[in-house]
Amino acid sequence: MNGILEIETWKTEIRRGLIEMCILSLLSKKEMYGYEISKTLSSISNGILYVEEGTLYPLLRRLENKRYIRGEWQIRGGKARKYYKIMPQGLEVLALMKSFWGDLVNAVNKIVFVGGEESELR
Amino acid sequence: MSYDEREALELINEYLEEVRQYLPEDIADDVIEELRTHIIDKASEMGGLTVRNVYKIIRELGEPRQLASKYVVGGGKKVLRFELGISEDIYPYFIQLVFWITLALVIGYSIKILYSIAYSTGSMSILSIALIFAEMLLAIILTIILLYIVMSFFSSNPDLKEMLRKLLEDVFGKPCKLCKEKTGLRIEKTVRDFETRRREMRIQISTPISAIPSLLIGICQIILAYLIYLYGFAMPFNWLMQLLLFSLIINLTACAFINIGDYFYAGYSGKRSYLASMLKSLASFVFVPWLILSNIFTDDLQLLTIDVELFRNEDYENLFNYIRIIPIPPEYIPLAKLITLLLLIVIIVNIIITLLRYSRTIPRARAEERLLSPQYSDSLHTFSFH
Repeated sequence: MNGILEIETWKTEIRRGLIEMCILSLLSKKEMYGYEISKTLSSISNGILYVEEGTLYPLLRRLENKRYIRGEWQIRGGKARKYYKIMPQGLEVLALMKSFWGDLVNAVNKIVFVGGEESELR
Repeated sequence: MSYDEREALELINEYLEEVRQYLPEDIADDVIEELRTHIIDKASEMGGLTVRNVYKIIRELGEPRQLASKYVVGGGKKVLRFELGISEDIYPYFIQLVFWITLALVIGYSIKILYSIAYSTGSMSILSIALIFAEMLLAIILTIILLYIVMSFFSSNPDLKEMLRKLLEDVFGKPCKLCKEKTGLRIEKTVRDFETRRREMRIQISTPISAIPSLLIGICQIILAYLIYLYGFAMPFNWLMQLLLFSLIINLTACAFINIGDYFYAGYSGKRSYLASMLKSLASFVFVPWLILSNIFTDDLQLLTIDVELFRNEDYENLFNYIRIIPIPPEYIPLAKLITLLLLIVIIVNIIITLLRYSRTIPRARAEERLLSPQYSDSLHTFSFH
C-alpha cells in the first residue's frame, strides 16, 4: 500500500521536472493559451503528462518571469485569451534541456534495461 | 443569459475575489483574468456555463489561498502577510501538534495535582486542585490559540510555509491517509454535503433534527438563569459577586433566546443560521466588565464553600446553612488576577476570531444557498445518475 503511494509521489516528481521542457517545446511550435496547453499535453501523451490546472498557470507565470516565454492578451474568434509564445532565451534553454534529456534517456536505459531485459526497451 | 449562467458567473467572481486577496497586487489583475477565461472556456467545453460545471473546475483549481501561494513561491516581492486560518497542507500537523501539546500539559498538570495532594496541609486542598485544573485548561487554550496564530502566519507566507511544512514532515512524517482525506478532499466533501442537503430539501423536513438540541439547550439556559436569579441574589454576596451573577443571567438569557431563535429559524428555512453561532460568542462579551473589575478589585472576590463542621453534625434542616461565603484567601489573589486576565484575553481573541470568520463565511454561505436552491434540483438529478 505504502509502495503504491510512494510510486505516485515519484511519478509526480519526475513529471514536474519534465513539464517545463514539454511546455517550452509545445510553445516553440505555435502560440497557445493556458487551457490549450493543458489539453494538448494531456491528449498527445494520453494523459501521462497531465498537469493540474492549479499548477500549470503558476508555472507559466514563473516561465514568464524568467523571460523564457511571453504572454499577450489577444482576441481571436471573438474571445480574449492570454496567448503564450516562446522567447529567444526560452529557445536556448529548450535546446539545452533537449540535449540533456536525450543523454539522460540513453544513460538511464543502459542502466535500467541492461542484459536480458533489453526487449523491454521501447 | 439564463438564471443558471448568471449564478455561475457570480460563483466564479466570488472564487476569484478570494484568490485575489492572497495575490501580490502587481500580478493580481492579469492572473485573475487568465483564470476567469480558463474557467469559462472549460465550462463551455463541459457542456455549458452552469453552477455545477463551474464548481467542478474550481474544485480542481483548489483552495484559493493554496492556488495563490503557487504564484508567489520563489519569486515576486517579499512582503510578510498575516491572515487568520491554516492552510490545508499543514492543517494535519496542526492537529497533531495540538494533540501532543494537550497530552503533555495534561500529564504535567496531573503530576502537579498529585504532588499538591501528597503535600497538602489539609485545608483548602480542593480549592487548590480546582485552581490548578483551571490553570491547566487556560494553558491548553492559550497554547492552542498561540499555535493557531503562529501557523496562520506561516500559512500566509508561502515561502515560510514551505519551510515549515518540510520541517514538520521531517518530524512527523507525511500526514496519514485519513488526515489527507479529511483536509485535502475537504472541497470534495463540501460538494457531497451540498448534494445530500439538496436531496433532504426536496423531502422538505419541517425542522432539521440537528436543531433540536438548540431548543433543549435554550430551555435549560432559561431555567438556569431563573434559578440564579432566585437563589443567587438571596445570598449575601458583595457588589462584585452580584455583578457576576447579573452578567451570568444576561449571558444565559441572551444565549437562550439565540438558541431558541435558531431552532425556529431552522424550522422555517430548513437550514442552520450562521448568525446564531456568531451571536453566541458575542454574548460572552457581557463578562468583560466583570473580568476587568475583578482584575482590579481582586480582594473583593468571594468563594462559596460548604461548612464541613455543620455537615458532620447532620443538621439537614436548611441547606443554606451549610453554605458559607468567604473572601478569597490572600495567597490566591495573584493567581486570581492572572486567571481573570487570561480569561479576558481568551474572550476578546475569541470574539475577534469569530468576527473574522463570520465575514468570510458569508460569501461561502451564499454560494451554498445557491446550490441548495430548488432551481438546481434538475441539474442535481442528472448529475447524481451519471
